[in-house]
Amino acid sequence: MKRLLYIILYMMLVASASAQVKVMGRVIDLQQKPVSDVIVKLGSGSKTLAFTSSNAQGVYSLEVKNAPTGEVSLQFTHISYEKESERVTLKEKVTKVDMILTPKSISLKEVTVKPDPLRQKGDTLSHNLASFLGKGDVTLEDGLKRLPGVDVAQSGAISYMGKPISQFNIEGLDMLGGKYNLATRNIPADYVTQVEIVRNHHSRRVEKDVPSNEVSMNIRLSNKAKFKPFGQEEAGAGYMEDGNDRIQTLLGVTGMMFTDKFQTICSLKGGNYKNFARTDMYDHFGGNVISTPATNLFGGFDSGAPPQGEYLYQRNGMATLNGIYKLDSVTTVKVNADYSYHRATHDISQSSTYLSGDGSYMTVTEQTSPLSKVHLPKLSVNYLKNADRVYLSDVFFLKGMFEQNEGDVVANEKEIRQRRRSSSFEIDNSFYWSDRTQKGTVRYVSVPISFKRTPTLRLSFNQDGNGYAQTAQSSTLKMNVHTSFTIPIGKAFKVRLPVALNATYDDLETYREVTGERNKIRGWAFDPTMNPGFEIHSRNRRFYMSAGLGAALKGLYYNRLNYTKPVLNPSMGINYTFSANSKLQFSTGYTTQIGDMMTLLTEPMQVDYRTVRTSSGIIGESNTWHTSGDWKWQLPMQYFTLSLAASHSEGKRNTLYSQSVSGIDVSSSALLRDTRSRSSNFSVATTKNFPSLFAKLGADVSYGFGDSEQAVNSDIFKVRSSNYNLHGNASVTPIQWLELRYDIRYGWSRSRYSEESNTVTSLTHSGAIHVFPIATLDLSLDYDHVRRQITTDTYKRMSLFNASAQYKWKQCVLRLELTNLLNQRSYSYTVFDGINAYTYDYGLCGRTTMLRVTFKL
Amino acid sequence: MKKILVIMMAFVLTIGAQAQRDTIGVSKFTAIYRYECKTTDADGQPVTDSMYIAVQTSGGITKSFPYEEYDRQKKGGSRIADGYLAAQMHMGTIFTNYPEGRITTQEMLYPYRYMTDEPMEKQNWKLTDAQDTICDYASQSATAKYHGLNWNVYYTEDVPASIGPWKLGGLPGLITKATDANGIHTFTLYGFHQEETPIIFTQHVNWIAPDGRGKFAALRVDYQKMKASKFLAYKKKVLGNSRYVNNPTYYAASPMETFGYVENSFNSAGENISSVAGVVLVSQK
Repeated sequence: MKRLLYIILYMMLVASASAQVKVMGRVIDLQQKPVSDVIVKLGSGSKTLAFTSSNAQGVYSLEVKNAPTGEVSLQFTHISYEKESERVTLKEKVTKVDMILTPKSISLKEVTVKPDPLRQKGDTLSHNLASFLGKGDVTLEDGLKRLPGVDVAQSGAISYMGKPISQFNIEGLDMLGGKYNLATRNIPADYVTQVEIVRNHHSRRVEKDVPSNEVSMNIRLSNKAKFKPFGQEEAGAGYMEDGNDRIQTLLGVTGMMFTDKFQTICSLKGGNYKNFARTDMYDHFGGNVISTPATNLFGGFDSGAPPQGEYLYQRNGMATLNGIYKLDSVTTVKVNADYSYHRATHDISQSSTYLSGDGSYMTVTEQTSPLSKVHLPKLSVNYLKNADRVYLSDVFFLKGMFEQNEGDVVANEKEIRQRRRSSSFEIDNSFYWSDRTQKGTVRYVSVPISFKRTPTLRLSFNQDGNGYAQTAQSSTLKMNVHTSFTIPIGKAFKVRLPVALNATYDDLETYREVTGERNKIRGWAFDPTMNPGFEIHSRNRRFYMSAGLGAALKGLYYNRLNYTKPVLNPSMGINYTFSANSKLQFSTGYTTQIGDMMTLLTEPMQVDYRTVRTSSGIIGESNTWHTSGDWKWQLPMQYFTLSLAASHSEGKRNTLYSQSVSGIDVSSSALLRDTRSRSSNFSVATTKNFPSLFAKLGADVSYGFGDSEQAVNSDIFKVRSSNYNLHGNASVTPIQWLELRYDIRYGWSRSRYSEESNTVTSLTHSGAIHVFPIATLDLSLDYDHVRRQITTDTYKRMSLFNASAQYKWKQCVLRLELTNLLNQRSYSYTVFDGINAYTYDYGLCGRTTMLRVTFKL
Repeated sequence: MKKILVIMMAFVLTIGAQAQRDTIGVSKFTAIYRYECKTTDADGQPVTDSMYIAVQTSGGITKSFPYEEYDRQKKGGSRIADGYLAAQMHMGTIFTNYPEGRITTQEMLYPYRYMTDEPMEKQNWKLTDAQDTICDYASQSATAKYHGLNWNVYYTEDVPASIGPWKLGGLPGLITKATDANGIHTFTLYGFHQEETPIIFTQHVNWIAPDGRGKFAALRVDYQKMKASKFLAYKKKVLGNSRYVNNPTYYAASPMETFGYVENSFNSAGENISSVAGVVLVSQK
């Protein structure tokens, strides 16, 4: 048996040895020099039998098992030589084939390597800004508009997937707070390398375990923008075809410096060309103006703004000094000092239609040219320690607001003079401390204290030679103490107990000179709250739920009023994170709101020449149940974002807004009557970028409906309203020297009461064409074409065209702007406010030419 | 002494002003690959990192290294830094068949540089029938087990160069795509630079650092030599320590006072240091 096995094994070895052949040789070039790295491949038909490469001496060697009996192909390939092949028959154990190769030129797919446009790391999306920039983009704001999911509003407000950003950092430091226009409109786009968007952002590191819906943005600068000061100077001059200031000017200088420890931005600007200076100072997180009871009651004579077109004749200026110093890796000190001045006037014709007592409609037509002047100085100092275990912040600010308004009006052919003057100031200090123990217990104490005062506010009216006035003054001291601690129980459950005491002292006095009617209210509002609740999350932290009881005691102690009422405001929120790119949120809550001292203003107050306001003296109470949910989905690497949102709220109030019309006089008050309201809203928004085409597409749709009640001349009407809006936009670069942008909006809204139904529609096309005859020259034309419904059968069409030529030369940008080329002088539209209808006709600024130069320093 | 170490994340980590460089060949073209690595960040969130890799070849030697460094060399800079990203992704510079029959790898495990050596193992490719078009090149597939991973690659005979990214190669054409079976590592051909460039091998780098007298001086930093297998074990141990994320110098043999504040054209003493970029570390006492 053994012998038999040996025989079989021997036969197999012989057979195997006889089938294994070797092919070897040497490869040389025409100069007889050896060629290395030649791929030598032995094939039969399409099958590869063996392959190898030649060595530095040009020698190769191939071994083939089970060599075929017929002819085979021996190929010699090299990237720098012509391909050669030879037919061979593998009869011998060793076959020798030498080859001479002929040089050839290489032709490969040449590419330019660019950094990744977008990188994702957890919740952070890093955009390489240069990959998104268009040729005509100058400022950081121009670049931000091109990022997927990012929207920059006309005011400069930045949002990501519909969510406004809650923090704007430069190299990780929050120097400007909500005044980030100062950075986005003054930092050159080519000085920014990365724009990082951080979803689920935590402004306090101690709360990093708490789910967050906040979005923040961080800007990374190139080395040329760091460690040495830089900035830009702007200067411009132009001519407007009408207005008090036909000669238009602008002048500005902005300097900045960014090091690892210190950052500063200082700017000084002024001019009468649009509001180019003042917009830099706009605070997107609020606090632009001082809001006191006196200024809230008597607000001035402006009447909104048209959605398109420049309508204000304005002079404005600003000066700002901002600096942040990093004491250590977690501690900063920040100082911001601002001053801005704004003077604006415009022309407006307004037609207001009211339902009068006999069921007929009464229309008041007014023509006015409101003028407003406001000075806004502000100084703030901020100390911040933001460590993993401790958060300590103290913000002190002092600001003032000095206003003058004129609102002379011609109403139903009568002339009335209106004047308003007010001064207000505010001192505020906010302290916040929080810490987190090793076990995860989080505690905080927050103590904001503010004092606001409007020492004088005076409205004066003059009609048919009769003068009368209304004055007011107010002081408000507000103190809040908030504290809370959160105790983890196990790994997935936390109990929290926030306690707060809000105390407000008010002193408000109004005096209507013509009748001697006076309101004088002094007293305290106390609002202690306790919101025991819990948080629960799954082990993988995908599911998170929180709920709170929201117990509060509302106390109003003004003059002789002693009002105390316990209320409950329970709330619940659920988040589910499907993946880093998909998140579902749901929240619901029941809120009880109690009126404030304003309801005690039972003596009439002259708000404008034809509006007298009187409060009912009834402490209002509204109960609202609000539910909302949204789902956000994004595929960053595919440059795709999608948001779906829905909300519903139902409310009940114990008072009903009531309006009485007599002649052209309108008076408003409140009736003691329960009233209900409902509203529902749905929205979808999506964006998609195509980086290879430099294209961004976006679309959003919203639909809402609801009903409420309103009293007019003692009759009660149920008003049903519904509306939908469609919006689409696209920006593409079909060829290198051409950029196109198109935006379309359609809006439809309907308001119904009794047998009446009013519907208004609007359609707006906007577009821009940028042509680059050479890389540094940008010729652009942008337009808005608007079709708005004024009455049932009347539509108004308006076209606004602007053109510009921008030339970049070294550190300088030269720009010629031609605004309102067709000299369109009015913009009209109608809105329905329940039963009332208002038609506005705004005077637009005339054709303007402006030449401006910007130098990078 | 209380020491606070702050890592400054600049795009370039360490810079040598006058490196000892040997030209070991001239590559007639450079293949560019995009490397993607699926991993998780410190919080356990899934992350896909990516970078570009340049591959040069000449006389049987292949050099695979971060594109960032290739670009700097091409622009005439004398710097030979590992890119920040490359350091993060632990993608070193690999010389295949240099010296002959060996693979030499230069890698940074912050703050040190290491040079490892290993034999050039034959990659036993099994050619399969699958076909695809990658980067506009008709490609055939092949599989092999190499370095403990099962690789599935595509190669194109239209570019007759037996090379690929990282340590991969040895096919009858240029590798156009390589993916490990777990889908963690992917190399995809992005294109070529068709120009002659020297293949440079560096023996050591010079590091600009404070000299302790308020000025800066170049320090010679040699690679620490190690066997590849030993380095791999050492790397796993260091990177596996959670302290590395917050304090990458925790395992350093000596305090990091030597590394000062260094940034493009300027230093903390206000002096102009040309061709020095990137902040390494700030040490505050």
